[in-house]
Amino acid sequence: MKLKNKVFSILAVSIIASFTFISCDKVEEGDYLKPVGKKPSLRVVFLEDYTGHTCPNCAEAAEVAEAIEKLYPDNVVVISVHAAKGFVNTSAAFPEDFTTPEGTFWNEQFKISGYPAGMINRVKRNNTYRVGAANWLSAVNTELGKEPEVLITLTCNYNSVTKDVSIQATVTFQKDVDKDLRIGGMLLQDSIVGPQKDSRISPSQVNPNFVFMNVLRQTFGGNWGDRFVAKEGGYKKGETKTYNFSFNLPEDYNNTACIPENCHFVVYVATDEPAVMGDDYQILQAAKINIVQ
Amino acid sequence: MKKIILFGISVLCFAVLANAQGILGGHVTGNIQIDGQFTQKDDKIGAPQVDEKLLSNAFANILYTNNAFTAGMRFESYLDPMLGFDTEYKGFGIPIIFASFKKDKYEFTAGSFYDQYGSGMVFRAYEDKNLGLDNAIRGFNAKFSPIDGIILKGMIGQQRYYWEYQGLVRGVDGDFMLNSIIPGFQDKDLKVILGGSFVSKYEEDQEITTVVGDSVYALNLPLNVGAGGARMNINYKGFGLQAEYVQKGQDPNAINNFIYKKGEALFLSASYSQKGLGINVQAKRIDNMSFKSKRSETGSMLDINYLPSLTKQHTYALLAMYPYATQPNGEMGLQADVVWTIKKGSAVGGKYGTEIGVNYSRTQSIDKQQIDENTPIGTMGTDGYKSDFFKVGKDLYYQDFNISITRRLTKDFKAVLTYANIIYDSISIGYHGKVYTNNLVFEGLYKINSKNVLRGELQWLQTKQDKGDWAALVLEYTFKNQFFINLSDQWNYGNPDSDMKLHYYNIALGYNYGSSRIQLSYGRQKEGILCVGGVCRAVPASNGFMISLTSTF
Repeated sequence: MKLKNKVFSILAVSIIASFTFISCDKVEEGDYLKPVGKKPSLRVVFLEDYTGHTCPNCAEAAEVAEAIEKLYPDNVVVISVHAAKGFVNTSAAFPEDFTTPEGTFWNEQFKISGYPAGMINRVKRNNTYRVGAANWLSAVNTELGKEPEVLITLTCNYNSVTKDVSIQATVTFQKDVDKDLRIGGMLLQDSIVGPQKDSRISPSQVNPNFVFMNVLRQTFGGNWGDRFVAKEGGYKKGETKTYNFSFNLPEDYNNTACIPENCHFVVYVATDEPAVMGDDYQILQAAKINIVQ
Repeated sequence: MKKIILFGISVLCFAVLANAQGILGGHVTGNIQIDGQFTQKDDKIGAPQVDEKLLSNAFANILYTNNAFTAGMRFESYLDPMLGFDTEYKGFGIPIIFASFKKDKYEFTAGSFYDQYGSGMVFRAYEDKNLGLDNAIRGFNAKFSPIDGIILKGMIGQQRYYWEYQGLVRGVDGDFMLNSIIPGFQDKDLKVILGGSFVSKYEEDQEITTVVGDSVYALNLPLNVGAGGARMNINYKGFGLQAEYVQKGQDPNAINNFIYKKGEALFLSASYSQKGLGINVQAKRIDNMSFKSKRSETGSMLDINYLPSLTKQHTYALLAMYPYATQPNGEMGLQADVVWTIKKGSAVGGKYGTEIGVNYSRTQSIDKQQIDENTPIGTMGTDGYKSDFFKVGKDLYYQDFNISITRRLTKDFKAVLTYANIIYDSISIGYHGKVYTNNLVFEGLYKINSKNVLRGELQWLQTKQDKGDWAALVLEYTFKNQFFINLSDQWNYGNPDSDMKLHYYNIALGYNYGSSRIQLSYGRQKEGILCVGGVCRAVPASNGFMISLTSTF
């Protein structure tokens, strides 16, 4: 090899070697995390599980949602929205109708497909609202790291004779807010036993005694909730606003008995961008309360 | 953006002028493609309402070459993006523009470029229009060959992110052909090429938090993340051996749930070929090797590297219904492929010869163990998990056994019979659940005369999972090598939901004129997944017209 070529080669190898050393950072074990504060226990994340009783993989996803709810009992609200297109129809084998018009609307509006699928706070990530079950925990963790703009505290009065329910939601602003927001309510029903397809069960692929939890039964405030308009100058940190939901608990939903002890009420506050479905639309905070205390 | 467009138009005008008048003796080449989609709501298949009615993807590549100098650009428009393509592409512009100069042992490119180091596991910049994927680098790329048998490369730039360029990526690569470098080794049958590469990215710090107990912690993020690898390629007569091992430094990101474990990947390929026989066996192990220039990105954009897929790329529609998607967080796979051509005139080969192809691939998870008894696997802000390199995980992701027999039965008629058994775990679309399929395809091609050809396909897919059984028919007639008509129908006759036993019909008409082609089609497109080389995108259902114009010049 000629001297010139040797010089070239040595130079090239030196450049590569130096490049290697200068271009890679190493974080020592034990330094991965740096404390930034106490857990934001006031943040409550809204996890929607779009599911269906003939969806063979949705049973496993429901377990994922339940595990996350158990991991963060005060910070996650799970809603099972039975709206998975093609997997919610009733038949002799799957007689329960868990659908709601609003759930079907959201499924369409948020372009949910490939079930089971979910949304976490309805935050758009990578141009889609859909989050696969495998990524729910990661997305929940991300949302838990955000400071809440509002807090919601709930009180519930239930008359066991008349079955009248009165929910009062108090929204407390955690920072100055000068924009229109939406507030809505949802009635959830737990512990409904019925058939659910489950690909893990062989050979029938059906669990005849699946326990359906957090099933969305009714909404209050329509598809997007009621708008509460920002007053002149907006809301200041620490200000509160109350909102009331009153209704009569029905005997049944689609012929499935509605047991008050198994019912819960969820209130959410969202940004006011639903008509545009822009990137800014999201659920800001949620809260859940049992109907029977 | 306006400046870039003006600059691009200037380059184009200059190039056209130069070509037209021959002032600089250069020439202009290029190609153009315009696709339009007119789609309507179809509740049965889940095709959405499209308010714009007409959607369009289009691009034009223009290249000016004059001896050692080349300049080029690509104009793209997505007005609005067709269904299934990311709406972030909406708009038009000139995302690709470059100039390059090549002389003797040097080659320099300024602007946007595509390149690959080794098998791509450390660096691959490429585009695939079908996937809506483009991770071109804009910056500088240099190649240099100091002596025969040594090729060195270096690059620095930003990565394309829809209409912008983001991040910072830099890399070096070297190939050393020992037969050329070592005196007296030139004429040996044993051919050896060694190579190595290193790529790193820089991304500024950001606050990513996690909750541990009752406290919030921010991740201490590495800002410079590097990946390097070594490779070799050995050939001896009909035998070939290719191996590459790469390792990536700590790279907590949204794909791996922000763990600090180093990534690594191994790719092995052995081949043997002789007249009438080709054998190829490949194996790989991938562990935490998603490498993107933006740590929060989870989609198909901003990939710095490419992880090869060890599965057959099926072209028949029903066979391609359950395609494999590479799992960057961990997978072990192998593939064996044998092609045997039985010579014509033999008892088995028949009068015109027979080709038999057998392919088997299987991909499983890797072994993952907790780093300690209190930390679940993959916990954010930890090393994530421990993994035994040689231990195979228990989850089967994908298996494909297929055999294909191709035989010309008469002078004018060729038949292909294919059987495939595929096991598919739908983790690629975010959940678990296996689909077991048996597939049978018969394809016949009848050459009526030198200019007219009739082709047909009969396909059948049997499965008890997902949407049940399918059958498909394709008929295609090519007339005078210029016109063609294609009729196809995919029928989901085995769907467990009686309302969903739907037909997905399609009719397509095409005309070729020189290097140009126009195609018009009408029909239903089912919802599904399209994968090319293990990289996938979701394809939504649609119903309507498609028009496609392509031309090269």
